Amino acid sequence: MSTRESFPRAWRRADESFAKLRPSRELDLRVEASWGRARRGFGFLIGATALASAAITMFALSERPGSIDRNLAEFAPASCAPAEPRARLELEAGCRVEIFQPPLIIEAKKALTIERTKNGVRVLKGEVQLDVPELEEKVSVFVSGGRIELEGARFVVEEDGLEGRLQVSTGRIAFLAANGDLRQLEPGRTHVWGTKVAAPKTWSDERTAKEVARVSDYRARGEFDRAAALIVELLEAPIDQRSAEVLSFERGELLEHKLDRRADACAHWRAHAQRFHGGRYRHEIDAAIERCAGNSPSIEE
Amino acid sequence: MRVGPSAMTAASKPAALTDRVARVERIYVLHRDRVFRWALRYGAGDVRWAEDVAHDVFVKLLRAIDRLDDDEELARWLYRVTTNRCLTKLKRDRVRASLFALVAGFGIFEPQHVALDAATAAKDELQKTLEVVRSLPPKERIAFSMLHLDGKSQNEIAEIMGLSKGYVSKLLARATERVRAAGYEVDA
Repeated sequence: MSTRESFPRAWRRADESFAKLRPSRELDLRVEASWGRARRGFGFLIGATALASAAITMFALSERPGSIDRNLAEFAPASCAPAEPRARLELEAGCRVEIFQPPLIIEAKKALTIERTKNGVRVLKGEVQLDVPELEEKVSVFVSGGRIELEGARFVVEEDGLEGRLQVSTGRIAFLAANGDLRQLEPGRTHVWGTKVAAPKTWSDERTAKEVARVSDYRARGEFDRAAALIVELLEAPIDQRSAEVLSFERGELLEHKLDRRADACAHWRAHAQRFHGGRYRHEIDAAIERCAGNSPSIEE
Repeated sequence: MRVGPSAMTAASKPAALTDRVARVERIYVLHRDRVFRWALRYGAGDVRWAEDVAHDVFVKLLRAIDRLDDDEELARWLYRVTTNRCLTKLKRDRVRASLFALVAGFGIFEPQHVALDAATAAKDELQKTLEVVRSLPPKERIAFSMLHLDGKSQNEIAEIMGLSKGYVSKLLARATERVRAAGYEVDA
C-alpha cells in the first residue's frame, strides 16, 4: 500500500480552505455598464481590471489651473513612497507624498489608507487632500461613491468605505450620476455620497452565504417555489439592506415570471416599493406596478 | 385622476440597459462567491488574481446575458467562462514571466501571492499543495482540477476547454506524472 499522500485529497482540503475567503472588492455593474457608454462618448480608456464601488462618475471642468505649492511637495519618509503598482499605503496624518506617474500630490489629513492603481489612486479610508496639476494626462481617483477623473483641481476626499464626502478647493467638478443627473460643484462646495444600501464586503455570516447558495441551487434545478420560499426566510432574518433589496427583487421575478403567481407578484412588488422606496430597481419596480395596474381599471379616481 | 401606463414608454429606453444590469447584478449576488472560489483554485489561492477573474466574468456576462435563457444554461456558462478566463490569464502570466526573465536576465519569478489567513498559511501542508498546483502548466492545472475537484468526465472537460478528448487525456497523464514526481500519489 502506498505511503504517499493522495494529491486529490490534499487539493480538496486546500479547496475547502478557500471557502472561507471572500472577495474584498465589490463590482458595481452599473458603473461598468455606464462607463461603456461614456468610453465611446468621451474617449476614456478604462483598464479591464478597474474596480470601483462607484455609482457616480465625475468629470473635472476646471477653468483655471489648481495651484500646487511644489516647494512643499516632497517625498515624506520612505514608508510613504509607493513601492510598486497596486501597493497599499497606510499614511499617518501630515504625511505628504508626490507621485510622478501619474502626477499627483497626496497629503493625508487624517490617517489614510490609499492604494496606488495603474492610472491613479484608490482612497479606501481616511481624509486626504489631492492636488492634480493641469497637464495633458488625466488622473483617476477611486472612492466608494465614485470615480473622479480630473486635471487641474485641488479637493479633499473623506471616505470610510461606504460613505464619503468631497470638498472642492480649486477647479470645478461636474458630478454625473449613472441615471444622467448632472450637478456642478464650485470651489468651496461639498458633496456627500451615502451608500446605505451598498453591498457589504462579505455576507453578514457564513449561514447567510450558504443559504443564498441554496437559492441559487434551487433555481438551477428549476425548483422556483423553493427558491422563492427560501428568500422569504432570508428576508425575515437579519440581512444587510442591499442584499435584502436584491433578494426581494429576485423573489418578485420568480413569482411573476417563473411561477406565474401574478396576484402574489403584484402584492410583492407593492411591498418592495414601500420597503425600498427609491432604491436600485425603481425603474423596474415602476414598470412592474404599471403591469399590475393594467389588470385593473387604468384610470384611478 | 391617474391615466394608464404611459410612463412605460418613457422608462423603456433607459430600462433596456438598467434591466440588463439589474439581471446581472442579481446573478452576481447569487454566484459571486462560487465564481471567486473556482478562480481561487486555478489561481492557487491568489486572492487578488481571483478577484480580477471574477470581475472579468461578470463584466462579460453583461454582454452575454440576453442569450442566456435559463438557470441551467447560466450555471454552465459561468463555469465555462470562468475556466477559460483563468486559462487565458494563466497563459498570459507565464508569457509575461518568461519575457521578464528574458529581458532582465533573472530567473522566472512567480506572481505575488496574497497570503491566506495567518493560521491557514502557516500550515506547511497547504503551502506544499499549492506549490504543486502552481507547478502545473495552465491547461494541465485546469483539466486536473476539473477532474479531481469538480468530478468532470474527460468528455466534459474536453467540451468545456474546447479540446479533443485525446488531448485532455494527455494533459491529465502529464499532470499526474508531475504530481507523482512531487511526492504525491494520484488516486480517484
